[in-house]
Amino acid sequence: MAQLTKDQILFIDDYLKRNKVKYWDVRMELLDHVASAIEDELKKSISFEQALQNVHLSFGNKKTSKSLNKSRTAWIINESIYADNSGYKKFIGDKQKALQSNLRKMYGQALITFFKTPLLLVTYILLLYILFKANGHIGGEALLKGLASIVSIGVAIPFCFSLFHFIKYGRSIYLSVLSGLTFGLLYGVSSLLFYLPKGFIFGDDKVFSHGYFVVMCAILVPLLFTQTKVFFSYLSKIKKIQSRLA
Amino acid sequence: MANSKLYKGSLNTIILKLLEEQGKMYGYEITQKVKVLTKGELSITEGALYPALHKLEAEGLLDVEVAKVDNRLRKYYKLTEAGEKETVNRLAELEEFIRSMQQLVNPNWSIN
Repeated sequence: MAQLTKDQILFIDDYLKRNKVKYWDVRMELLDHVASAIEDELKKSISFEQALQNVHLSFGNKKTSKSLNKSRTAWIINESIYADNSGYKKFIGDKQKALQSNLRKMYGQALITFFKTPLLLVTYILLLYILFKANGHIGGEALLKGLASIVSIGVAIPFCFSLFHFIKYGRSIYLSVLSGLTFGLLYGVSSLLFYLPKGFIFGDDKVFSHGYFVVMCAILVPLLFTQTKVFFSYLSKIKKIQSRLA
Repeated sequence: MANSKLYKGSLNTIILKLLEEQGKMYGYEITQKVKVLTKGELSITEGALYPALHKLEAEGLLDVEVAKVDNRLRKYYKLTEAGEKETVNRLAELEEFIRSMQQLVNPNWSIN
């Protein structure tokens, strides 16, 4: 089998980058597939460029695209291996969906574990009881600020770890899906609880509703616990993959 | 090429079976192996193979290994312990399905 040169491999890597395959781990897998397929195609005595074009099409990408000109009066036909990357987009999208679905299952399982672990469950109930009894002893604003700080720390820690990994290893699809789901869910739920129902927090008479605060804690405590647990367990899985590349 | 719709539901089982036999394989190798084994009758497209591989990996049935080969990195897939068990189940299911289909289309045929 004709082996590709280092320059040809670099050319394929650049071709994938220009076709917006931004995650290094996806690009690594695609690069090997494209290179292996080109090596096979070259047996048919065709040029490297023609072989790359054949492989480009085999992934469901097109070699032409059309766009309107500036004055919107005519179509501009663009014909090249950089004209359309719909096949690679679908490749990345499918992988993201598979990872997201797996992560959601992990969150679900972690949540079930939380409520099935006697020690955690007792601590959780005790915490809610103490918070409920704190009514009148600690001001509403202070309680809300305290909860907001805990949630912020819960978001900031995984964020810092994600940022560190991004700087150290580059853009990974695993990390991107993990960070997206972790921050998305935490931010979404806490925003909903903190900002939307202002009427619940301070009631119609603008008095702090302690009952609603306890409900907020009842939702956010298990959520923070499961998100943090899944985040670090998945991060160690990513680290394992990255260590194999070293 | 044969009717790909008939194979679609069995793609995951085909992948698991190949990995059980070969130990570890990379994406392109799987497409080529299927082509060779079916004498070109069945070709798994990239658009079908990778979603299946990624789903099996996400489900914890496959593990990955990376090695440097010919100026580039290669991602190999191999069965996990759960994947080995699942392969046995899925092959039994597929065999049962083939048996049922044979009973429907050709009642005198036997798989044994």
